[in-house]
Amino acid sequence: MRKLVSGYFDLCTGCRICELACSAIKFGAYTPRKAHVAISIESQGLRAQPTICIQCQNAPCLRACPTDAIQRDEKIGAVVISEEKCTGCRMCIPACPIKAIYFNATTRKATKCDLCNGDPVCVKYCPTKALALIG
Amino acid sequence: MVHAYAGKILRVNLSEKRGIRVEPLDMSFAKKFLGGKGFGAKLLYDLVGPNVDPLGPDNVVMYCTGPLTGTLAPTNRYCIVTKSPLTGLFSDSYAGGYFSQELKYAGYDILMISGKAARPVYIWIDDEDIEVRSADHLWGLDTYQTYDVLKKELEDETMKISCIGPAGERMVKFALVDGDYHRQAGRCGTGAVMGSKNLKAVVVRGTGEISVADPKAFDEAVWKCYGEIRESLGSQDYTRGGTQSFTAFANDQGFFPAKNFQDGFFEKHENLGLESQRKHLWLREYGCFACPIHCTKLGMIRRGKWIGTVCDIIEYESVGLLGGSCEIDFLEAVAYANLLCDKLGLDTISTGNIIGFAMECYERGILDKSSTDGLDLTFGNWKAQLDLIKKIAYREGFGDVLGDGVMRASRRIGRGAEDIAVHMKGMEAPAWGPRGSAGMGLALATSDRGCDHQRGWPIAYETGASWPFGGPLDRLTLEGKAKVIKWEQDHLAALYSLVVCEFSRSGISNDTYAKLVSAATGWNIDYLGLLHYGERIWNLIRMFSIREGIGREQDAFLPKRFKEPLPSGPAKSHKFTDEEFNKMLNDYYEERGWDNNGKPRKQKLRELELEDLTTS
Repeated sequence: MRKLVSGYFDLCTGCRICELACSAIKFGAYTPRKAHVAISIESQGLRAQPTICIQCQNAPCLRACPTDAIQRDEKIGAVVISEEKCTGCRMCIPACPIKAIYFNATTRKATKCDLCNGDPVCVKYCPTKALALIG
Repeated sequence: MVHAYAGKILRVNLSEKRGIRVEPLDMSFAKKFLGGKGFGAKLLYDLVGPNVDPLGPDNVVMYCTGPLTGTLAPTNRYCIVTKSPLTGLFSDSYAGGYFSQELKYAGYDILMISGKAARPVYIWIDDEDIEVRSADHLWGLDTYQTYDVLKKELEDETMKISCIGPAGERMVKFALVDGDYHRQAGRCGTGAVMGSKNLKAVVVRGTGEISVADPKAFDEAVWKCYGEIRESLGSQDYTRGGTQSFTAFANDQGFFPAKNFQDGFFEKHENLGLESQRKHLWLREYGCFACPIHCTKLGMIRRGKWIGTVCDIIEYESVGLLGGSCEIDFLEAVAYANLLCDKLGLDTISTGNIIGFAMECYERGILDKSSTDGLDLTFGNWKAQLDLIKKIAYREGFGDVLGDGVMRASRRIGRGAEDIAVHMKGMEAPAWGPRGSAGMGLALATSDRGCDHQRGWPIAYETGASWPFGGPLDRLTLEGKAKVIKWEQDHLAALYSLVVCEFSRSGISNDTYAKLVSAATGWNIDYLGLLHYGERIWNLIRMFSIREGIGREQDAFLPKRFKEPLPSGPAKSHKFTDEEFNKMLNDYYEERGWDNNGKPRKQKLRELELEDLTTS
């Protein structure tokens, strides 16, 4: 089973509430540049595009990981990273073509959207439903 | 651990070779002045005396954040404080967007810039790495070009940039500071102060964290805000049409600045209003940082010679001044004029006001083509308006005269021009002609930064709404107005110190603001406590104004236009008289605990814990 948060530019206002909510859950503080969802602003603001892991069926990060730290969680439907197994080698990071996997400088481990155990906060906080959990 | 604040102040003295200093934020200072406007007020009072030339090296420009900046608290803005070259007074100018949060994530509650660089520079803040870099290659570029060059040069699309345009470089006294696309700290000429320092831009990338003292209570307060905003009709109006619902309202009620404030109604206002903009310009909703209201509408000009140009909503103020005040109803031309002001770095309010003034001078024969560089300044001539905007920004010919603001320009032009210049304390009036609202007259006259509508907007309570300490007011009676203005000013001074957007008032309740700030800081502040902060900050700024020579005489100055009867609308024939106006001022001073000349009494200063000012 695969689930994912899909982001729609037509509804995204660029307010970054998703980044704030995500960072608060993942880091216990507001730090949007570390969030697992990223809003990019293009065309002088005419397009605000959320980028977030699509929990690939054929996941390059999972395939690139030399320690099998990245696995599919069949129950949640997400591609998740085991902190114990991750050695922080960062092989997964350039492997992701949409730049949706990150390196946490504090824990020295890779980190990514894990769908918040099935109930993603970014979807919950988004004021315009520009983010939706699908699948 | 410090909550709600980043904990540091970054000082950059551009006169010195090694002028970068990072200092800890004194938490007792933070607790006394909250942030934003409060921080700026205290620092400006301490650092910038009456002998400091606003455009000289001793003036300071401060980007001040607040305790809610960078958190999930709805509506984060940024605040720039300086001594204004337009008014010579304290000035605080605000813009939405994403800049101030980034500054705080980089680790700084305040960025304070002083001195003057020998050559054009920009400041590059990459967390703790701070550099003053050459901006020789940026000097002369418009704001949009500046973003493009800097983002390419620093190889990052995501950094946040605040910059000036050619108008700021040439120290036009109402030059603005642009903060990424579509967001401007417009009023008071802050851009000219940056220009006087040879400072083209500030660029920030911040990767740090901001925490709150009680995350659970904070989150509850945030959700309370979301609920209140969702339920509020006022917020829904902003979400649907931004500030555009005001165009019809102001015309219906007679507050529109038609033809340089000659009337309160512009018969072609619908061509510039909500439905017209929606149909011909807007494409999507756009929100500032952390704001669920997302009042901004972005769009594209899709008819005529500027087809394909990306544009912002034309805000109510810009419709009023660039449109109504100049009698221009050509939507695309006003959208383009608005964009031109943003790119060249001019405040649309002051610019529209002063062009409307020049058009009236032309109509009355005070000016003719020999003094306007051949421009035909007949009301409604949008081509001439666009030419004049460029002339002002580059200070060319007649534009140089107007570039000093309407008060100075009218004095220089003479021949009766002063009688039709619509300003108070040197600041051009905004798009709320006060005739028909006694309270609005008082609000404009007692605003701390000159003639301004964002320090009190009693029109709401004079057209049917209740205020927290009383019911609706009659629009023309004088009694009771001082009380509501004092409350508005204190309330807004508190909100501007949290650095939230005043549009959030449409939904977020007073108690919820208090809950947000309490949960963020860990200090127990209720709404009355917030108001106390507002009052303290307002009085501190008043002491700055007193030191600059402001008193009753300046407060009581009314543009001649507001003493002429209003020609139409529900308040037809209303006008202000000096006698009635002074009566309202008496009430206001009394309500504030100020003496007969408008100076805060010692007892009031002590009550506000501003004892150190009692000797001045």
